[in-house]
Amino acid sequence: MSNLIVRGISAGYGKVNVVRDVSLTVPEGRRIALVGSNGAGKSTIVRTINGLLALRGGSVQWDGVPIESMRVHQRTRAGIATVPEGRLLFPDCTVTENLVAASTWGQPKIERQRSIEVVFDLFSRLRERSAQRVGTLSGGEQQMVAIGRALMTRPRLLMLDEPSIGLAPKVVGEIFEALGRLTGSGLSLLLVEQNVQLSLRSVDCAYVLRRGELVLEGNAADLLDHPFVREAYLGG
Amino acid sequence: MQAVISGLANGSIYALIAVGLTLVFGIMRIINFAHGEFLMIAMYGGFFAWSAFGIDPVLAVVIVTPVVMLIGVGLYKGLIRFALNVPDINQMAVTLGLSMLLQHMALMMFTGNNRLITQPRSTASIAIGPAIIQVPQLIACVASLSLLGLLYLVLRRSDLGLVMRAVSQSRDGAALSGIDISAVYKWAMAIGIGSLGVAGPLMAAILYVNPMVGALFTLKAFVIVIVGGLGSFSGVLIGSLLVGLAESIAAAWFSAAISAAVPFAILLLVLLIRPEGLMSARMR
Ligand SMILES: Nc1ncnc2c1ncn2[C@@H]1O[C@H](COP(=O)(O)OP(=O)(O)OP(=O)(O)O)[C@@H](O)[C@H]1O
Ligand SMILES: [Mg+2]
Repeated sequence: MSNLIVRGISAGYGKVNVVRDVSLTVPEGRRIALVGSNGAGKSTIVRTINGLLALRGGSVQWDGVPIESMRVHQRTRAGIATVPEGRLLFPDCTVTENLVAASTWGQPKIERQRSIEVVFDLFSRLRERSAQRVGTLSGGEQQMVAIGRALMTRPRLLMLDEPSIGLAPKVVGEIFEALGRLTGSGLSLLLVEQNVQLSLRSVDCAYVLRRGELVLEGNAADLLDHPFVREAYLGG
Repeated sequence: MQAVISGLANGSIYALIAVGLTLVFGIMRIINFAHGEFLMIAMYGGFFAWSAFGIDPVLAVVIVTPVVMLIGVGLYKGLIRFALNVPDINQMAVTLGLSMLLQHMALMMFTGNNRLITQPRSTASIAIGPAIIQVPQLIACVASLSLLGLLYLVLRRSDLGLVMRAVSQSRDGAALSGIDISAVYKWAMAIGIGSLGVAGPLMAAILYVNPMVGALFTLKAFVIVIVGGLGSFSGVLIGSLLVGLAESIAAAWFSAAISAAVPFAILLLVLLIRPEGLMSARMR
């Protein structure tokens, strides 16, 4: 019963709490979106869940266990993987090295090879570029490496922070198509996006964040028709 | 020719000292001003192993290295760990303070006397073409190059090397990949300081040990690391050979006094021409 339960969290930087009293749940195997415009606090929420940012209030539970005191790598090892904003890849390492780096702690060499093959099957472009330095890849390919690296940790929850940002529609299509193939095998998804239309089409349920507070939640299909969402995010 | 040979020999030993500094900086982004003091400790270790127990410096390497590796880990756990989250200027104060503390402790424990390991082979030398090289220097040079080769292999080929490069290139990215950053830092300190355990005993057979000897090498290592590009492995080798060569050529053409100023002249030149150093700052 792996699910993520975030209860009444607040977090921020300096004196300002940019996220206030946010609660959300990602049940096992579900695809959830967290949408909101620029600076709403989406990345801040992601960073409190993966541990890069300290919580100021509330609680985060994973599999029924509080994880606030766990360090970043421990949360990853517990099954929560992040494709972070800015990707945070290892630019001077090759594609393969980037993938292997995320599996050294958990998998013997033979299994790693198999995990890499799974990633290459998902993004066949990466197979051709396996020995290329990641810093020299296109933005889309780098995003694929970032997703691949997260998958190498064998997550049960995958959090993606704006995977579509700055990419051509065709590449975005490729990536979202791959994400579609991933889910359904028990992997939960927390998709963070500014692109409301795209993300609501790809998930089951969604939360709408505005200036650090949740203002709406519900079925993705219902939200697409919701007057507030249409008004604020879909241009009327 | 003689100047070139001894310059390259010195340079390769400098490389072994500087590589630890650059490794620790490349991975942890902390500048350890006390680096030379751990060399000093390793040199004393080699000297006392020889003077008290008659242990050959080559053998002493095997004993001193694990000890200084442990000291490196202890230093991380006891001090550096807490200094990582404070502003840079305070970090510098911490390692500078440690450097002075260690110098004064050495002065109290070992006095200010100059000490040197002298053995039958100390004065022996070997001809390389038209030039000659002292045997203790040759030993240190060979050991240093082998260890550098080994470190290079570890960095490029092993899991540990990969995660070290990963942490160096993106600390948060590495943590999100499940890598235990503090374990990597511990290894960086163990290897960074531990490499001085190889250099120290061998160097105690080449030049005098006293409590101040470390400071000189900290400075030289700094010049090398900045010239080569902070955090760059190949930069260290280039910077070391450059500094070693320039020193010995200056000594041959001009005087020892001028030779001593050469590293700093190189530093100024490089900073004027290429402020980022000769090589890039990330560990590849
Ligand atoms: N490191 C930081 N220091 C100070 N303030 C920050 C920091 N990171 C984010 N903020 C501020 O916190 C607020 C929320 O930022 P956050 O990055 O969570 O927004 P976001 O919803 O992810 O936006 P975007 O879609 O642009 O990525 C913003 O006002 C931002 O300026
Ligand atoms: Mg963001």
